[in-house]
Amino acid sequence: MDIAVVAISLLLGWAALWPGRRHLGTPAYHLLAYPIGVLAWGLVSALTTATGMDFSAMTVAIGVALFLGLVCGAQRGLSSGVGPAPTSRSFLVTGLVIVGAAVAVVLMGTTISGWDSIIHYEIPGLNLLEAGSYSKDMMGEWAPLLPSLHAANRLFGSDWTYVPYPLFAGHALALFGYAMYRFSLAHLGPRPRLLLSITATLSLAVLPAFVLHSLNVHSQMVSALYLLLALVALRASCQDSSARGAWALIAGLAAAGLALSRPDGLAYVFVPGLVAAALVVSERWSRTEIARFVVGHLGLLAASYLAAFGQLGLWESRKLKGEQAALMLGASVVLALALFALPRVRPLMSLPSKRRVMVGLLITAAALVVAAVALLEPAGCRKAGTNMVTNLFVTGGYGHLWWGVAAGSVVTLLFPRMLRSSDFSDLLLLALIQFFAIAFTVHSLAFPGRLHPADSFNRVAFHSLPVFAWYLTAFAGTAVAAVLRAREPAPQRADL
Amino acid sequence: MQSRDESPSPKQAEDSGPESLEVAPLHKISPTRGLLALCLLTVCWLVVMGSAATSYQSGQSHLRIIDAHGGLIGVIAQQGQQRMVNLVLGVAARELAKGELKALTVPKKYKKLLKLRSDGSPSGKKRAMQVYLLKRLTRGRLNRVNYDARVPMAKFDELVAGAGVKAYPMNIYTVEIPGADHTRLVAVTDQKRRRLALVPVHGSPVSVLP
Repeated sequence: MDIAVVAISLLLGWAALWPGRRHLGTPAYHLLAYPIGVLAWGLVSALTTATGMDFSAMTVAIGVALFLGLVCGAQRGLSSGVGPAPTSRSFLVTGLVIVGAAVAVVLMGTTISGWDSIIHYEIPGLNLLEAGSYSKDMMGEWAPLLPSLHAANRLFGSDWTYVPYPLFAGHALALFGYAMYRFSLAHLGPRPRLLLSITATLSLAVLPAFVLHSLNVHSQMVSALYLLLALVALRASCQDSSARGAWALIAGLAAAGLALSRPDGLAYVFVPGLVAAALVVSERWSRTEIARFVVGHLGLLAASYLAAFGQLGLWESRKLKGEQAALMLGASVVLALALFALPRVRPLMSLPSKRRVMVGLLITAAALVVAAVALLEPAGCRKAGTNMVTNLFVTGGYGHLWWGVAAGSVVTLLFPRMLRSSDFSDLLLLALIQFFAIAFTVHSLAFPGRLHPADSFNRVAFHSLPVFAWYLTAFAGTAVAAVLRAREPAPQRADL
Repeated sequence: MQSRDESPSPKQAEDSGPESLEVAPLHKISPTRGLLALCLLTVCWLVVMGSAATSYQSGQSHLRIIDAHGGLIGVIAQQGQQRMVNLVLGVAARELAKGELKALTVPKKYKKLLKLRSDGSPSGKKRAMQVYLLKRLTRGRLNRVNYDARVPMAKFDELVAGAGVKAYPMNIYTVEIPGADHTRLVAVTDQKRRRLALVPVHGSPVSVLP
C-alpha cells in the first residue's frame, strides 16, 4: 500500500490535465501529472476542515471531484487541435516508470527522517486523518499540503510516508532535463544539446544536497519542484501562443503548490507571480490566459486558507500568524488584479522593449523593498544577512557548492551580450533576485535564523538550486553555440 | 472562459514573435569570448563537483542513508547534515505498525498532549502508542546514527537481554557492544522487553535535546 498515494496522485493528474493534453504535448502531460495530482490532497483536507467531515473515502471522493472540476473547468475553451493526443502506449510507459520507481523505493526501503519529518508532517498527517481538520500549528508552522499527503497515505493503509518524496526528486530532475532540452538548449545541434542536457541534469542529481532532500521527508524537494515547475510552465507559455492558456494554468497551479508546501511559501509564491507579470506585458497575455493563471494560483490557495480562517479564526503562531496569512493572501489577490490591469496600461504596452522594462522595474522594486527593510529593521537585517551568507558559504553543510554557483553567476554577468542571448535568462535572473529578496525580507523581519545546516533559510536556499542550474546551463549553452559557430563553414555562419 | 479570447490577434501575434525573442543575436558573440566564458564556467562546475566528491569521500562529514529497517544503504556526504538524520523514527514507525503494541498503554499526559482520540480500540491504542514512541524518540534525538551490519541481530537481542542494558527512559534502552566500531545502540521494546526496533548510535550515548 506504500505506493497507493503515488499511483492515485498520478491518475488524478492525468484526469485533471486531460482537457489540455494536446496543448501541453505528450512528454509534458505525463511529466506534470504526478505533481499536479498531489495538489488534490490539499483540497480534500480543505473540504474536511470547512465542513467538519472526517478525512474518509467519501470526503476524498468529493474533494477529488472538486479538484477535477476546478482544474478541468479552468481548461474550458482551450483551442483544439494543437498537437497529437498522448497515445495509450505513452500512458502505459509512464505508469510503469512512475509506479516502478515507487516500487523500487519500497523495495529499497530508503528514507531519511528528522525531527521535522515526524513532528511537522507525519503526526499532523495522523491528526488530520483522525480529526479531519487543520490545526493552528499546521497552518502557522508547516502548511497544509504535506500533512494532507501523509493523511491520504495513511488512509490508503500505508504507514510511514516516504515513497512520494524520491518521486518528487525524480520529477524535478526530469522536468529540469525537459526544460533544458526542449527550450534552453534548443539552438544547439542534436548532439551537443543532448550531451549538455544530460550533463546538467546529472550534475544536479549527484549534488549531496539534492540526494539528501530526495530522501528526506520534508518540504524542501516538493517546494523546489513546484518553483521549478511554475517557471518551466512560464517559459513554455512563451513557446507557442496557442498553448499559452494551458501552460498559464499549470504555472498557477504550481505556484499554489509552492504556497501550500511551507508557511513561507505564501511569500515565495511572488517569484513566479512577478515573472508572470513580466510575461503578461511582454507576451500580451489575453484576459482568459491571465484568468487561467489566477484560477490555478488562487483557487487552491483560497480554498485552504478560507477553510482555515473559518475553522480556526486568526491563529497565533511563532512563524505565520493568521493575520499575516490573511495579509499575504490579500497581496496575492492584489497581484492577480494587477495582472488583469497591466495590459490596460497603454504607455507600458506601447514600449518597444516591454520585457526589459518590466524586469528592470521589478528588480528596482525588490531593491527598494530590501532597502526599506534594512532601514526599518537594521538589527534583524544584520543578523539574518550574516546567518544567510555564513551558512551558504561556510557553516551550512554545502561544502563549496554555493561558492561555485556564486562564481558561475558572476561569470554570466561579465558577459552581458552572451547573457542576453541566453534563453529566458532575464526572467530566471529576475526570479533568483526576487527569491533572495523575499528570503532576506522574511528572515530579517520574522526569523533571523541561526548558524546551522538545519537553519530555515539554509534549507530554503535549496529551492533555488534547480533554477540556478537552469540559468547557468542556458548560459553555458550560449557559450557552446558561440564556440561551435567558429567551427562551421563561413556560408553557414552568415546564415545565422 | 471563452475560446475567442485564447488566440492572439494578428497584430498581437506579430508583436509577440520578436518580443518573445528579446535576446541578442548569437552571431554577434565572438567565439573567443564564448570559449573564455565556457572555460570560466567549467572551473565553477569543477568546484561544485569537486566539493560534492570531497563530501562523499570524507569520513568527517557524511550523512548516512539508512533504510526503513535500519540497514545502512550508503553514505552521502554533507558536512554537518548528519544531525538531520534521526533516521530511526522511520524505523520505529514501520516496526511499530506490525501490531505488536496491544499490551502497551499511553500515559495520559501524552494523550492530552497529542489530542488523540482515546477510543480504546486496538488500532487507536496502536496509533497512540506509535505517536507516543515517536515523540519519545525524537526527544532523545539521535545524533550521528550508524549501523554496523557485521553485528548480527541475534547478537543485538542477546545484548538487550544481557547486563549491558541501561534503562533509558522507560522502554528505550541504550546498549553497549564491546569491540564493535559503533559501540552503542538504542533498543525500543514493549513493556515485556520484547524488541520492536534496534537503533544503533555511534559515539556518545543518546543525547536528550529539546
